[in-house]
Amino acid sequence: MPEKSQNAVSMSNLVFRYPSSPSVLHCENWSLPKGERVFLYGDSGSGKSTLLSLLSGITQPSSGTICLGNTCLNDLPSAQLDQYRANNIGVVFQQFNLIPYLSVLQNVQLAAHFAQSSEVSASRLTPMLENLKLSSDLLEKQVSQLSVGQKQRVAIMRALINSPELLLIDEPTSALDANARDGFMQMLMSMEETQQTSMIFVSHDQALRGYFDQQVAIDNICHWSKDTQGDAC
Amino acid sequence: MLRVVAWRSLRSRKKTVILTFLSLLVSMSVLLTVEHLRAQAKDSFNRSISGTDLIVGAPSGELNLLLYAVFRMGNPTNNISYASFEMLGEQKSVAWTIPISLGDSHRGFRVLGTSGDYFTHFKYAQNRTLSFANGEPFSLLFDVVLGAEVAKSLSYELGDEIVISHGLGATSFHNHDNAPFTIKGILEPTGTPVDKTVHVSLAAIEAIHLAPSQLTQIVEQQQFDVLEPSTITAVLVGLDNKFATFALQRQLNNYPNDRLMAVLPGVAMTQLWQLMGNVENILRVIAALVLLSSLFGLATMLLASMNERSTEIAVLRTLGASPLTLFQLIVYEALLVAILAFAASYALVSAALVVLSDWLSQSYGLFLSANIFSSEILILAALIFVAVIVAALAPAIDAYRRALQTQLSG
Repeated sequence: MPEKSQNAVSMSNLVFRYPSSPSVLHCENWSLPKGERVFLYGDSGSGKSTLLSLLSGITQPSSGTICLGNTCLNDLPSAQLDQYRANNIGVVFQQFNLIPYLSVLQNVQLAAHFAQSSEVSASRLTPMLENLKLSSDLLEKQVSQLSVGQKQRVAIMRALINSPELLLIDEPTSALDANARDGFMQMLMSMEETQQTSMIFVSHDQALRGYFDQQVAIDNICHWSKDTQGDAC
Repeated sequence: MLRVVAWRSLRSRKKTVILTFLSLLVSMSVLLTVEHLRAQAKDSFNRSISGTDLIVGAPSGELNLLLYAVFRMGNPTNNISYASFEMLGEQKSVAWTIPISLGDSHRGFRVLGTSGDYFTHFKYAQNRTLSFANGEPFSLLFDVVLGAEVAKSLSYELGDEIVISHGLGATSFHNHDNAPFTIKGILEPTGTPVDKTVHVSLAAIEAIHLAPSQLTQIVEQQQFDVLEPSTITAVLVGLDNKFATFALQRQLNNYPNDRLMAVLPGVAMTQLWQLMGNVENILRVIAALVLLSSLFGLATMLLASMNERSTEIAVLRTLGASPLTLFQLIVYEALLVAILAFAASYALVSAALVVLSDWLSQSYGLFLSANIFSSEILILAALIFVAVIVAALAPAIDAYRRALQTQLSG
């Protein structure tokens, strides 16, 4: 039995290669202490999104280990991995976060459904709605009727509904103007504070780094190389 | 929850889904109709005659004799002599005989000349005899007994006077008021051709073929014996002893004094079914092909939606949906459309049968029940849903593979 890990995320010797491409992503040993928030920056194509896919367990590394808390994703069979993700990881994307043909409430319920938790209660939703400055009649609205800003706020709510251990956020502000962006960041931070969730925030927008305790350039962790045989074995 | 997602997903693609639904609705309705017609037509034909051991008529085809003697379809090619009918009645093995004389009509319904024995010995379905809803068998020359369908569609009641014309059209040049018939009885519905038959005595058939002046003379002088027919169309024969059937059949087929043909109703009915069987199978194959093509349409609709749904698949994956869940979602969507289409086609076919049943029985002699539920329909429904799941496999596998290859590309 490993000791109880103090790290929210720890990865070592991570290698990922695309099935149909010679590019290989190598990542250094890296860890994120529990409860910390890290700002991960880098240019597009630098491997940010791939790293997030690996951290969320949606894609599997070719070799190496990723552990979230005491659970190592590469040890889990895929069905359990999906279940683990539902329960423990919240994800907010740049654009596509919500299912457009469902109502706001149904989107949130869907997250709870996959986490096999009970009905989404009003007592859970009301404070979240208040924090995010969303009115409660929004719940019955179809997602496609919401503004971009509203969608991003609903996405945060959806990501936090199962009280995840880890929050993965990918370029959430790129579609927002400067004012909306600051408003969004403040809300995100205050929500985060109350939930005590570890967070990895990916962006190329350096203006946001001030919100975070830790800033890391993706280039310092991961780098691409052309396929050289034998290094993954 | 997954069902809610499937339902909302379909609603978000209303146009293509409704078109697919309509194509399934049409093809399933065709399939249900063919299956129902098949089962009901067989039932309807088989119940038309029962307890009759031999049908005797002039030589033609076995099927031909069956068709005009029992189903009032087509026209007799030739008649047999009345003496032959009397000869039949005298045979030792014969229990009863029913003479049949065809060739006239009343407003589109066939007129059948017969004797009182018709109402005691004629049997249909499982050995059921005819019963009267109103009135009684004919006793006077100008009495008439109507089948249920005739009375219903022409709104006739007991005691009404009607005119019977020579020939088979709905209108005839020979219509005249000299021979007005009085309705003496109306039969209970049987679901057989009896329902659309106008029954009169053999003597009445002779009477309507006389010139008006002759008829007036006969009626005034009460010389009814003149009206004894010289020929009739066919005879239904019931035997005391079934074992005598073949002997009598052979004897009649070789009868020297008249040209006779005797057929066993069961054998002729089987011939009819062999004939119908081919048509039936062709209809079933066509219906199955129509369904197949609309299932291809369903698969195409789902596959075509896959590209626009790759982001949706990514969202579901991040929420913790497994690739198998996405596979299920697509199968659910296919089944939802299919179940709705099946329910709608079931309702449509039932409603159509209720509306069209009068017309079908009058025009085609098909007595169809509006209740299409049967164990065969259940099996058919099960087969349809299996086929739908098979059709959904291609798009469902596509969704599964997309789910596996999902990337969080920002």
